[in-house]
Amino acid sequence: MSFRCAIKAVSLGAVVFGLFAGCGGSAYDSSHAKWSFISTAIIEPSCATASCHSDVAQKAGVNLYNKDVGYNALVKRLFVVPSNPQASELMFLLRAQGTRRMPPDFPLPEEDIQLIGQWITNGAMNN
Amino acid sequence: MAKLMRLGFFSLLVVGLFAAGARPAAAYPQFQFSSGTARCAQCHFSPSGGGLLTSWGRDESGDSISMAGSGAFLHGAWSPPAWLALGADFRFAALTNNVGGAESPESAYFPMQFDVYARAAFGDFSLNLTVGDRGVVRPDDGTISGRFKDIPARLLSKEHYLMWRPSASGPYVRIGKFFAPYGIRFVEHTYWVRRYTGFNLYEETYNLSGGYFAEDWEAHVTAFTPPPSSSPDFIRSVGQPESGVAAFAEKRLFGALAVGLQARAGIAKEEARYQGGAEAKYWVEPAKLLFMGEANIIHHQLKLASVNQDQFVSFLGATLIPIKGLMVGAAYERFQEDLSVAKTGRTAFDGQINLFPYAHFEVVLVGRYQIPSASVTTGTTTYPGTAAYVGMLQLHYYL
Repeated sequence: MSFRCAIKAVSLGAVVFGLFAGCGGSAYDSSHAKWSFISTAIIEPSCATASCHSDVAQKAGVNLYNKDVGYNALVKRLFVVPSNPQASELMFLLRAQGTRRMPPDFPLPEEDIQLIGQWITNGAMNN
Repeated sequence: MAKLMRLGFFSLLVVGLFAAGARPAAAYPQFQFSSGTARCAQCHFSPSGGGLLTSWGRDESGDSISMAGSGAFLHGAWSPPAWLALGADFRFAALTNNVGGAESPESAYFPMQFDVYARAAFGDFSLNLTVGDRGVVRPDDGTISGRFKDIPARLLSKEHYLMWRPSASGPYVRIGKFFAPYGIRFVEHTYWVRRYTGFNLYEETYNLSGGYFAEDWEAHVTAFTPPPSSSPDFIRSVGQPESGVAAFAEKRLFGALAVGLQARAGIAKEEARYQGGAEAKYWVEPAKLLFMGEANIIHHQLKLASVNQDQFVSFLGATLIPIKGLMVGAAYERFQEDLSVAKTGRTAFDGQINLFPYAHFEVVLVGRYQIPSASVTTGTTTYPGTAAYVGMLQLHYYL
């Protein structure tokens, strides 16, 4: 194969593998602001990883590996103060305001953080 | 169950259609064409690549990958009997990590990997075992010594399986705990195409897997289920407790191009994930340059929330091997958490230098820069996205 063919193949690859970076159009709606969504879509894949808050590692005694266990860890241990995101330690951790950031390897998208804030404002129910 | 059977049939169909031409994924996919080795399973006993090296792989590690030395077990001081293969990987890492906030940048050094491998062969069958330590970057007490203590308590078996494989080519079957063949099996677990597709660190499942190796293609189908949650930590996994089917097939063309298709369906109590994608590698021999790409679409059903989301995760990278024993790579990654929701995507750029100065030794320099989505304004407050970077030095020794 010639070098020109290589360039064409790589250009095609860039389109297929790299640039299909969908840019969604809308924001989260009220159907997302519930713990069953937040736990499964955001918290577990971001936090319940190998040596962090998985069932095996339970870093700092915090286990976030499923919906009910994670809810107890955050609400019963007062990382979340229902109806009061301004007083919820979880929000400070997610935004690294005066404390270390969680997760420590990459900040969550602000859209996700705001969704979590909305869930707390709504009463932080295990719904 | 009927749904699982349909998914299994679909996966088989995908593989079957593609198996008219197909090949696998390895821990160092960069070596697939550059070393002159056609199949990842030529250098590794595992059909999905990674882990214990075959005698061919040990020869290659000295002859074509490292600057000097012999890749033989124990540097050739002692050879195990033909029915037995042994090996080990040790990685020590130092990193600096900045994600913003009161404690950034943080620095740490820690034992990253400590895996011991054993394989005992009996005719066409073999027993394969991997036991290692679960690395800790941030111990509860925050001390350096905390990263080294309690190592016995963190021991786990990532892989243990029985395999029937009568020859290097042809069919094989294996049963036990391992990663199902799927996409490009990068050694870097931080890559999002591993993290968000069910193949993150310590997410090995129990499987019944089979496949076929031909000279220029290969195909694999795997039924998987997680270890029971009541299992001892020694055999536990992390990640979603999904059961399902995974399939992967790859075709090689012109001795320089590999194209693969993959599919996976995983169903758990709280969620289900249906995903598929493609991967490709292209080796430009005159330029000593390897291009690799992988992309996956994931349909994620969140049963308890009655919400579905579609995700996209991709990797596109290039690796230059200017001289024997040196690799320089750069990559672009994209993860779109929900394709229908704006500003939930993230992008990463990776740079990596791998130096193999002498067989059994590797020095790795990694840089990763992650760019968040755009800032979000709520009322009068604007929350800017925070970029994150990590730099890491790894010292790797394999026995």
